[in-house]
Amino acid sequence: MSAERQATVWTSTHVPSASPIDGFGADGYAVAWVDTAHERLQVLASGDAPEPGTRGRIVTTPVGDLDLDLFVADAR
Amino acid sequence: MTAVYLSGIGITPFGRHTDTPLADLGVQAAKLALADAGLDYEAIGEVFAASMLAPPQTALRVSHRLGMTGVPVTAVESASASGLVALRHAITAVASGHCTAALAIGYEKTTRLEPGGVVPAPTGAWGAFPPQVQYALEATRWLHESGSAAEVYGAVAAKSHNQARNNPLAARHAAEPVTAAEVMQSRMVATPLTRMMCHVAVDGAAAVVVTADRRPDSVSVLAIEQASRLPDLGWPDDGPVAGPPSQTTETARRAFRAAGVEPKQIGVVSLHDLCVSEEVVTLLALGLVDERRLVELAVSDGLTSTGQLPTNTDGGCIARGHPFAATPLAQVGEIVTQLRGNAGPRQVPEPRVGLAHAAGGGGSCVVALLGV
Repeated sequence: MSAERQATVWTSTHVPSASPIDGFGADGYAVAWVDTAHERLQVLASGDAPEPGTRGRIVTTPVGDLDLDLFVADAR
Repeated sequence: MTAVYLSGIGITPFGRHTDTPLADLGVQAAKLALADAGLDYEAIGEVFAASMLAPPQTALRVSHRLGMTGVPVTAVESASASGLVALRHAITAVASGHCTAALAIGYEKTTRLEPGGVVPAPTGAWGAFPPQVQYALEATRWLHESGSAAEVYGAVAAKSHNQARNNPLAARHAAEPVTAAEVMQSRMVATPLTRMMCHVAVDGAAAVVVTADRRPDSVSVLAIEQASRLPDLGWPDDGPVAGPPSQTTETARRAFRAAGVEPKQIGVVSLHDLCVSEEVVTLLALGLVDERRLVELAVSDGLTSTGQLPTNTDGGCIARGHPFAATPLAQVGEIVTQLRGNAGPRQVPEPRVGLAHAAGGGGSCVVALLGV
């Protein structure tokens, strides 16, 4: 498992249909582009689509056979 | 560039062609284009045929149906940019003196795969996600940066649906004029994009005849430029299906320079709009308008045939429909039709220079400038 990385949301969207990944987002899911210290990444996001500028971290989470990079917003 | 002309166009109706073999669609479009040019297939010195999903060797099957003339036939695949890539090859074949006439054809069946057709397997972690996600992400960012309301997207999409009402070949024909509110109320695909803001995948074909001589109703090729991906730190390496707006900017810059044309001279635009946000972002990336003016045009019918920046006058991918590889040649067909003054109720008043733009999955971009 990789270390958590700090990230800031640049943009996001919520897709109100099932994710193609078994065990994740069966009722809809969010995707975001987030800026880390080194690059802009496309990642899945936890919960609703976070607003641009939202700060948080990228957490690697096991889902079935996959390790998903998931953006989790900091608690406000 | 060496004088080269687009002298014939052919477009099949876009929609569901379940019982029509894919090759038949290609042959149909090619014959329409040849008839429009007043040429027999025997005059064609080289063929470039584009598809993304066709069974192998379809290009040869289409060309052999047109005639066993022994000319070189080349299949082209570059996703949604395929048709313009094929056209660029055809233009190069004529401009180089290799032949005096060449044919570019694009054909696709997306509603039901042609037997033996190729379905690209998902690649990478994001391959199974819908392509609309990228455009929704761009859409959200543009709203954030511009301070605009999502209704701007509703207005632009409504424009495309209403333009298609005057295009008999379009896939989506609304019975009544479409409003921005109606677009906003349709099913959400990926925030902020609704179904009526997204392309409709259809079947269809289009073809263009390129000639070295000016013929009746010929349109001049002023420039056609193609680019693959360039570095852009603002664009994730993994996830987006197509290249960044900066790629469109660079491709257009090369085309304007090659043609000796200024953006303000463009009288009609046909651009790739997988979703409505691509239309907004691409108009900005092409340098045809600034952000403030774009919003003004979007909400005041400024992007319609009679507006100041007529864009996707045939309805675009949203309403004309999007048979992947065939789409760019239909776009070129629309620009040629407009420059000829033959667009009927969707005619732009006396355009002199038109722009066609295609952006394909994987990161291919083409910009063509055409003039009378």
